[in-house]
Order: sequence, then C-alpha cells, then structure tokens
Amino acid sequence: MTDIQGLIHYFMENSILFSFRGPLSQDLLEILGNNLSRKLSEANCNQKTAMRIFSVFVEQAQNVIRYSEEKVMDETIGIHEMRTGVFFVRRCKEKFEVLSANLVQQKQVLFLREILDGIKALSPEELAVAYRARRRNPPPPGSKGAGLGFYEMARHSEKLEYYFHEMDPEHSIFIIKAII
Amino acid sequence: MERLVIAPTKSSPEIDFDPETKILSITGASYPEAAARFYEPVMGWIESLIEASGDELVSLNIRIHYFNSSTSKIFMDLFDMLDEAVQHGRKIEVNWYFHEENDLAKEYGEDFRIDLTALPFNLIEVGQG
Repeated sequence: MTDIQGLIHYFMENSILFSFRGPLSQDLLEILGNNLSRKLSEANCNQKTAMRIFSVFVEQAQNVIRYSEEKVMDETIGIHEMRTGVFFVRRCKEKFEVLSANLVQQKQVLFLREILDGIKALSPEELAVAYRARRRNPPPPGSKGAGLGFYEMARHSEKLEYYFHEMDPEHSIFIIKAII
Repeated sequence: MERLVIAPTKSSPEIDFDPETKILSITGASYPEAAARFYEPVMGWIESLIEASGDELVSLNIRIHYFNSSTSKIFMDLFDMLDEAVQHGRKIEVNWYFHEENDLAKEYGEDFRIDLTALPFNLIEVGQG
C-alpha cells in the first residue's frame, strides 16, 4: 500500500498531468493523444502551447513505436511487436515538460548523442534551415521515419534535454525531455 | 479517372479528389504510423491527374490542423513534384488553409512556400465559425 501511496504522492508533487507506461501502438497513441489534449484543456493550457505539447508527444511516441528496444508480442490483437516506453507531461512553474523514456541498444547511444548535440547547438534560424534541408533528403539508413522527429521536437520547445542511463551491457535508457 | 475518397481516421486525413472538377481536398489530422504507405496512392493519383489534365487548373486544398514530421516530408515531396509540373507548363495551385488560432499551421505553410519556385501556394486564414 505504501508503494502506491508513494506513487500517488510522486504524481501530485510533480504536477503530472498525463502519464503512460506500456507497450504502444498507433491505436493507443490516438487515444492517448486525445486524452492529453483534454487534460491540457482542463489545465487551461493555451491553444498554441497545447499544440506544441501534442506535437512533441506524437513525435516522441512515434519514435518509441519505431525504435524502442523493449518489445512485447501481442498476437491476440494482431500486433507482433509492440514497443514500450514511458511518457510524462508535467507542469513546471509556468512551463510544461514533455518527457519520454525508452530502452535503446548501447550501440545506438553514440549515434543519438551526435544527432541531438548537433541539434542543440543550432540557433532557431539555423534549426529551421537544417529542418528544411533534412526534409528534402532521403531518410538516413536505419531510419523508419523521415529522420525529422528530433528536429520537430526542437522547433517546438524552448529547450530539449536528454539523458542516458546504462541498464546493462547491451542497453541504456534514453530519456528525452522537451520544455515548452 | 475515378474519384479518390479515403475516409478520415483520428490520425489520418480525409482525402477527396474529384477528377471532374480537379478539386483535391485533404482535410483533418495527419500522423499515421506509416506516412509513406498512406500517401502512396494519394501521390500516384495526383501524378496521373496531372498527366491527364492538360490546360485545366488543378486545385489542391489542404485543411490540416496537425501533421507529424513524416507527413511533413511527404508533403514536401508532393509540393516539389507539383512545383516541377508547373515549371513544365501545368496549371496547379495549392491552397493551405489554417485556423486563425493555429500559428503552427501558418508557420508550416510559410515554411513549405519558402522553397517553392513556381507553384502558387496560397496561405488562407479561416476565422471562427
């Protein structure tokens, strides 16, 4: 019981508006997106900020759907591989934090750091130019999407932070946090 | 050519393309799981229409209130294709509709327009009600 109380306290103390932990599919993403929009509306978040939060959440969620190393099989609903992640949206003073975490392979860590460091170093103008250039190029090898997700997140946030925590020799947890 | 109609879902837009009027509408939200797969028949249809349209104006009306990064790439490919067709003498226009409150949609519209050379790309603000 105290574990649950601890969890509830955690959620309250951290002003968590929205959270999800589990295997994610496109169907679930639609429902969660809807839920998030409603929560933001209830929290009196203005339209412009809400759109940015929603957008970052979708990019993070679709990255998890494509790339998370933690997968479950659920053939009962015709899905063979559902990727798992953790998502939070919390209020932090006047701003919102949109965060996702998922497992990645150790060998992807360097690659991710390079991309994100590169993006963080850009001014808003440079970011817009880089985004447009990236959008015109074919997706990089190993990429299932347009390779644009992180650029999109960066464009919509005041600040983008990320962390890696080593879980075991093969895997790390990758956390990405957008402050909006 | 047959009319192309695809019903909307929460994460994919309504497609309504009329080969008679040459008015093509994309409406709703676009964040499908596999954007390339969703838009393949859409692109294919548009390419066929352009080849067959001769001198007549083709109008692409886009009313998308939210789209993800994968869709952004697809749209850029589409507008590049249309841009090239206009350079070769076709008559095509894109009308990008956005709600007055939706500053992101307006920004994205401007973003697409920057890189186009010949394709008329009209940003149209829609008010309340």
